[in-house]
Amino acid sequence: MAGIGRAAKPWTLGRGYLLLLPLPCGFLAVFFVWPLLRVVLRSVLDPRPNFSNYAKVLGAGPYAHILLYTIEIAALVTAICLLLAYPVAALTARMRGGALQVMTGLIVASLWTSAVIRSYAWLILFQRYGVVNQALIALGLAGAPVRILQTTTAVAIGMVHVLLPFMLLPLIATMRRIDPTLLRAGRILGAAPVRLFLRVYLPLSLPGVNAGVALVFITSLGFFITPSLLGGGRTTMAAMIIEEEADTYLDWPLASAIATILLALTVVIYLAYGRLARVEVTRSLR
Amino acid sequence: MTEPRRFPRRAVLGAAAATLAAPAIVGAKPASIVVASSGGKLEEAFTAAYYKPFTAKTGIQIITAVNTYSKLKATVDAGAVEWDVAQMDAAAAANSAKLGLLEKLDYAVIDRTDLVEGVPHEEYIPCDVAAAVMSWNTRNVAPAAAPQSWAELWDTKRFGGQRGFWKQPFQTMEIALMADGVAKDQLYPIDVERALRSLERIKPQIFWWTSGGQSAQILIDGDIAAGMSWNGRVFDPKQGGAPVDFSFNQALFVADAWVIPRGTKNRQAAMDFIAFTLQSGPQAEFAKAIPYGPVNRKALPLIDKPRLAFLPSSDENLPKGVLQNFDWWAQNGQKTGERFNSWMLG
Repeated sequence: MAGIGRAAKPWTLGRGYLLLLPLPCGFLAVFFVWPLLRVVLRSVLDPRPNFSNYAKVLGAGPYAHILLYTIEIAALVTAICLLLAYPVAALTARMRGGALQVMTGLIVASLWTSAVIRSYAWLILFQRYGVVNQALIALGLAGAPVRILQTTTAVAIGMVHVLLPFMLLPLIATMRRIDPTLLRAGRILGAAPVRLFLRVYLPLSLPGVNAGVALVFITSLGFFITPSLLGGGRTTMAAMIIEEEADTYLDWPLASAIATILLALTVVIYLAYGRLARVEVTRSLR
Repeated sequence: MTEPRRFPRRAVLGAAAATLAAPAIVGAKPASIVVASSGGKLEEAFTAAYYKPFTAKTGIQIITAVNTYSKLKATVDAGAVEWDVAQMDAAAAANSAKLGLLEKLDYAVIDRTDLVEGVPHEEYIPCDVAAAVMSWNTRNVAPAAAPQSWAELWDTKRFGGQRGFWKQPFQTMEIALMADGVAKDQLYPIDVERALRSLERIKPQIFWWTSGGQSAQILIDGDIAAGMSWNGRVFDPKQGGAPVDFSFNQALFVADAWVIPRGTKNRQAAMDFIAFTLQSGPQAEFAKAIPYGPVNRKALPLIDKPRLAFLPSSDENLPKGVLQNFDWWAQNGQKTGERFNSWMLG
């Protein structure tokens, strides 16, 4: 890899382009970094400069439980998305011409409908006398209507539906770049299909897997509408409790502390995963 | 954190405003005021009953806005108030008063002689009476089993199926206490643990809803057998022939309230506006546009009998229930909410 990089003449930024850099940096500094910093500062400075907000979040109340549940469901949703998206992406990546356009079109089109509307649609489908229950009864899989709404199952299905494109797109992009001659070479050298997949295709697709996993997991952590519509008493996610503290009780310091912990957890998990993934990629390419 | 910055900025603004206003006559009418509300059908009713007649009478235009609660705090803290008047849930209004976000109301301008008892407060004033009522799906609950009290709604032998409740401690806890036999005039201070024990008895049967629209949807579609709804949410479906019914028995009366954000430039006009909306005429018009009752008792004779039967604050319905203690929730809401959330996860 390093050898290839050295061989190609690197593209450099001209001075003119460098002058444009302060614009986006300034924009991000004012509208992203500064507000974020305010949130972090508020969590330790208000109402008094100490860690009382953090003590409360990590104490006996419901907050730590909710944060843990948020991570659990985000991991579950990410895993399901990966399992569902991987074969679909592998097939799509092999398509050419019209079929590929139709497939990508379908995936992108699902992004045009808002998560609110799609969650409402699931609300209707999952009802006691809704389509899903009718189908379950007609197929003999259930004797009476099953309670689907208000459960983690309903929340997970709704979230997977919304987030699947974010797993599919990076996977397809990476898989399309996999050189088919490598697979042919492996086959000629006598590798069985399973071995071919595990030793050649899977390692080469890992950058796409990592991008998809990061995108879906981090987006999952901030979900609000889907869990509040499809979930019940036990399915409170972090964003819901942050909204409640911020907009029902106007306790911005506490809301800031929960948000800061969620952010810190996200960064830690992301870095840990990144390190793990890098080790995995280099090992399998060796 | 915003504390040290607030005063200089407000002083600058104030000075600027004074300079601008200098040539005008002191106390001159503004051309318009901004009234924030939660929108939808409520705003339609406000427009018909209050905004248009107020503009016709005073020449002051009403500019509407959406009452995002956290925006009240953000704009008041920053000394950049955007609303002159805001409607909000009375419990939220009480909480805002506790946090010092509101102007004191001027009861020399606002006439409170005919208002329902317990309505006027120092910094907020309810402008309607809504109700958290027991409601049921008439297909899931046989007419003979229809609940007449919260205790009967709790009784899973009386009728099966899920019971829908708001995923918030407010209102849900009062109802749980009444179901457990607490008299409606003995609800406050709320015995939180007793309310949770009462809810615990039907916990597996509870369907938690998070919005008024959802509460009506699950009731109409038969996902739940019965539960708590806001009367305004089940009135239209019932009139339209949906299989739902409700009762004002042991209703918990709740309210929308007017507040004036601290630091508004149009304090006087805001006060005049609130005073106008609480008069019997506009109050009656409001109650004809949306099934929320008037807070002005003199508005009742101006409303026809069939309509009165559906209004929470009619002479017939008001004695059946109890008005929520908004100040108790302002003082205890957050820690009660914390306990409620912990209980729900357990």
